[in-house]
This record gives sequence, C-alpha cells and structure tokens, in this order.
Amino acid sequence: MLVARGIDEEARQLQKQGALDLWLSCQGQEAAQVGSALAVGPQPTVFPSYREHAVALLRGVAPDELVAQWAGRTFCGWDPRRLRFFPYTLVLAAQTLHGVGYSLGQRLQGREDFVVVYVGDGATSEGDMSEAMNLAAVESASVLFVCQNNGWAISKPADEQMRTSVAERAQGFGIEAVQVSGQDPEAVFSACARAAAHVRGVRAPYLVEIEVGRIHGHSTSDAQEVYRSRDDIARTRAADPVTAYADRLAGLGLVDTAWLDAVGAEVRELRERLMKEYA
Amino acid sequence: MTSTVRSPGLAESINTTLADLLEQDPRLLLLGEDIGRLGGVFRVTRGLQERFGRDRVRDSLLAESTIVGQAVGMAMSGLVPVCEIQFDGFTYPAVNQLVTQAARIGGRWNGQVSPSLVVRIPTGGGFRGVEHHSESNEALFARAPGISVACPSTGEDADQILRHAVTLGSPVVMYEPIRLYWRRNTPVRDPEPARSPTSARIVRRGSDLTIATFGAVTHEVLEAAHALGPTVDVEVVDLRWVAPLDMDTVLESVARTGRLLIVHEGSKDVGIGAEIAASVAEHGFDALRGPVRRLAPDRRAYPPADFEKDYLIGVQEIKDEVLVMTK
Amino acid sequence: MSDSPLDMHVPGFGHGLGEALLIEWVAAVGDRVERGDVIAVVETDKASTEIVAERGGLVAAHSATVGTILKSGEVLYRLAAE
Repeated sequence: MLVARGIDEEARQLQKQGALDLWLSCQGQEAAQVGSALAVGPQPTVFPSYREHAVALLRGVAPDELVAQWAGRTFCGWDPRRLRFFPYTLVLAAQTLHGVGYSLGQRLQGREDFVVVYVGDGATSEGDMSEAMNLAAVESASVLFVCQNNGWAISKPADEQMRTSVAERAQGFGIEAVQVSGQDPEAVFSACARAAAHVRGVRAPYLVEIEVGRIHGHSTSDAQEVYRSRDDIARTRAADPVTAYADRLAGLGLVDTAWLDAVGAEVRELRERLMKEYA
Repeated sequence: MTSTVRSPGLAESINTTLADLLEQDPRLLLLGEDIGRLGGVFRVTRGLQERFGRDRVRDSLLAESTIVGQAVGMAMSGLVPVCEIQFDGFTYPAVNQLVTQAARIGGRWNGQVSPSLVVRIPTGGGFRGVEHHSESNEALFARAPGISVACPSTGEDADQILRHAVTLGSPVVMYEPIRLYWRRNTPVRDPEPARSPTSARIVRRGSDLTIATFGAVTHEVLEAAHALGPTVDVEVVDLRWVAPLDMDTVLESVARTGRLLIVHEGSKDVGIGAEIAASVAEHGFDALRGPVRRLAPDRRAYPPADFEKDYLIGVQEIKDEVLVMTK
Repeated sequence: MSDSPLDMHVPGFGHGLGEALLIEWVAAVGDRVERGDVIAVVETDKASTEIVAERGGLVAAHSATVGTILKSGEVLYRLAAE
C-alpha cells in the first residue's frame, strides 16, 4: 500500500511537470486493491478498469511499465499474458464482458477459468456491466467482480447514480454479493478470500462491492474542488486507509520505525527511477 | 437471353462452410441468437448444434454487446468465435465492442494477441422486411480501422471469405444478403478466379464501361449487363470486400474501359462508392473518358416495405445509367 | 362469389422466401373448407408450414402435385362457391 501510494504520488508529480499526459490516481483505494489482489492470489487472470495501480504492482508490473501509457508511449506498458494482468480498458465496463467471455473460453479449453474483473461505481451504469453480470450468472462463469465504489462518477455522486447498492443489484442477477468497507485491507482480504473460495468451489460468479474514498479527482484533469465540499474532501483525506493501516500496525507493534524507514527508502528509490525515466 | 444458372442458396452454402470449419478447427465456435436449437432465423446454422454440441454452437442471450463482448474475451483465450447478429439493424448495440474493443485489442496488446473473430450479419432489403430488418451498414465498419468488411454475393465467395477470416488474426464483419439466402437462380458469372481471398473478382468481362459493385445488388448489375450485351459491353467487378478495398482491380478495369459506375444498396452519401470514386479520381483520372457516377439510394431511412422498390436500385435504373454514360 | 371456380395462389412466405416444396394436400378435391382451414402442408427453406384457405368454398381442383416446388404467386388450387 505504501509503495502504491508512493508510485501514485510520483505519477501525479510527473503529470504536473508535464511528463505524463494524464494520471488516474488510486489514492484512497489502496486497501481495497491490495486486500482483493492478495486474497485471490497470483493465479486468476485480472481484467482491470484503469486505476488498479496497486493490483498492477502486486502482479509484477514495474512502475515504469505502469506509467508508460500515460506518457503516450504505448497503449499498454506491460506483458499482459505473463502477468495475467490484462491491459487497462478506458471504455467503461467494456472489459466486464471480456472477462466473462475469457473465463468461458478458458473453461471450454479445460484451463484455469478464474477471472477477476475490476470495475468502478460509475461504470456500473453502463449496459455492458449489467449484461456481463447476467451472462456470468446464466453461464455460471468463474468470475469475481470487484467493484470499487469511490462514491463518485467524476462529478456525479453515487446516490444520484443508483437506488440500490451494486451488491444488491448483483443479487438481482442471481449473483452472490457482499458489500464491505475499503478502509481496512484485512476486512477486504477476508471478504475477497470468501468470495474467491465461492468462485473456485461453486464455479459461479461473485461480486464484492468495496466502499472506498477518492482522495484526488477522477483524473489529473479533474478539479473536484468545483463540485465537492472542502469538508467532504478533508474527511476523505483524514480517513486515508494507507496512513490508518500503517498507524494501526505500528500501534500493535507489528511494524517498527526501522521497517517503515526501509519501505520509505524503497519508495524513494522507485520514485527516483521513475523520475529519471520520465521527467 | 436467359443467362441464369441454378446454384445452392447462400444459406445452404454458408452452412456447409461453417460445418467444415467446425470440423477442422476445435478452437472454432459459433455464437448467436437462436442459432442452436432453431438453427438461426435464416437456418444458416441448421443442424450444427446437434452435430457439434451446445458448447460449440451456442445460443446466446438476446444482447448484441454481450455476443461480441464475450467473443472478444473468448478470442483472448485462444478460441475463434464466429458470431451471428440476427439482422443488420440490430448491430448497433454491438458497435462499441466491435469498434473500441475487437478492432483495437491487437494494438493494445502490442501484437501479443491477434484475435480472429468473425461477425456474420444478414443484411439488405428486398424481402418486405419490417423496420430495421433491411439495412445496409457496411460503410459504418469500413470506416473503423482494424476491422475488415466483406460483402460476398455468392456461396463460393462466402466460403473463401470465411476460411480466410477465421485465420486473419483481426476481426472481420461479413455481410450476408438476406434476399440471396434462398435464391437459387442467379445470373451467369465468368468463372475467373479471384487473385487472392481478399481481392475483388471480375465476374463479367467487358470493354465499354466498368461497374464496381458488391453484395446482393451484384445480381441486378449482372442482369443489366447481360441485357445490355448487344449494345454496350459492360465489365462487372464484384468487390467482395469493402474494407480494405481492392482498388488495384478497379483501377486496372477502369484503365481498360475508361468509364466507371459504382452501384451499391447502402445509401450514397459518404458511402463505399464515394471512396472508390475518390480513389479513381486520385489514381486513375487519366484513364477516364467521362465522369465517375454512383447509383445508390438517397440518404434516408429504409422505407416501409410498400416503398422499398423505390428505394432499391433496380435492373432498369442500372441499364438507364449505363446508357447515359456511354451515349 | 361467381359461379366459376376462383384461382387461389401460393402465398409469399416472408423474408424473401419465394418457393416451397408441396408435402401434402390436406384438403382433397370436393372438400368444403372454411377460411383458415389447412389446405396443404409445405416445406420452405426455413420450416414446415401450412397454407390455409383464404375464404370458404369447395375445393374444385388441385393445380400442383405433391413433391413439386411451388412458387409464390402461382395457382395452387381452385375454389368453387358452395
């Protein structure tokens, strides 16, 4: 989570310097991403949306590979096949159908068919998301949908996007679903581990809706101060899952200053390398 | 002069080809609405589910984006999906998946995957279809880089195109004229083979004027050409593909005849004919003995069945146009 | 209805289907039929289907034999007033 935060911060900095064209920050969503990625393990194929940077790093995407597409060098900077972390898809929810189709294709060929599809709350308004949930349900596809609900579809708040939770909607399609707070990576891990066991055991889809905060705007081109109250942004920052978890672990004596310093040094080195490559 | 021959209908030909492809390649599967139990609304896939099973001949949900979207995922997993959309007018919900996804996956993956994915679409009018059942949208996808668009007018061409499409490594949309599905009497064609699976075919040799055309209306063009035979010697180029276009064959033909008429069923404005005319103006202007002309419906919605004869290009109009151009 | 039998034609079958194979005559010559009664069973390229009487009357003659291809618009049978 600290590494993802550091890389994200560096990418934001690089964008401000003009070295990146755009950056979609994942700050505030690290616990959701790290908890879910660790829970499913390295085996399933991941169909991300476009801000699953912490998942990408855990899957072995190098920081310079992660930012390459945002610097205009490529449409995908990493090796999707080797990492089983497929390219970012910028057309909302288009990847949800690919994920289900891929899982069915794998199953038909007698291969590992566990697929994880990441999607944001805004993208769940797209027809493809509903179609993918229905398809996964009727075909009993081994797909874990992870919806990170950060409360905003750019400027449209979640309560103006939907009348039920995404989890309730999934249940309407006949998909087991659960809603969990994205504040604590351990809670996310537990929920996603149960979900993954269901997908593997029953060979049927599952949806985990993780409520997260969005610390920065939708993208570096967004100005959330225009539509979000100062208090709301301040509250989200105060509930930062990264600092909260670090503090908690330190308080429990599970990590010490030396460990945190070592991580800090690693992050500094990664940031420096990114800066050299892109600035 | 009765210059027609009896041949199997297009539906039967495509059925035979699909069966053979399923037989040969275990990675290939069919996906579409009502294609399994029913055999498709046009029975193009009749008997295939019984023969190859429900895993490989899949009755899809009634959602076109679902069909193409899952096919993209299946192609990523190494399968070769051949999708069927029920009618051309119902293609639009799948356009996003085709244009922003299927067409771009290869590039997005830096060439690491090359999905072979075929979308078969029954197209065109002339059979008293109700609203949305008679459209011709080939120009829509011809504009989309990364998608190849085929418009066969015979079973033999559809066979060659399909066999090529399933190995191409990028998406192919194949338009199948509905009014040819069961038509068995078709105008005589020169047996000259195409130079390659993606090239046009000269289906009638002539010296006075070239007609470039494709799809169902190829038959009306041939009928007109045969009828004009004693007065004007018309060469007919069946393009077979509208993206990419085989302009070499068109330009070579125009170099011989000096005149070009383009005939198609899709509406004229910003259509396939406009592209051909522009290319000939750019690269074949010196060969022209007169202006290039287009014969295609005006830019308006396909009308109710009672008015489709006014909309469609008929044999008489083609003959009249040729006579004007060669006067 | 006039006294001379009426020509009844092979209908269109939709979707451009212009012909069908005559499988069976259901209404024999001499049978009285009401509008909607099955006259014959045919097989198009799509499916087996029934041709039904467009009006009531007596079937005066069959104009085609079983096993032949019928074309839309051709005379199929003749219908006399009762």
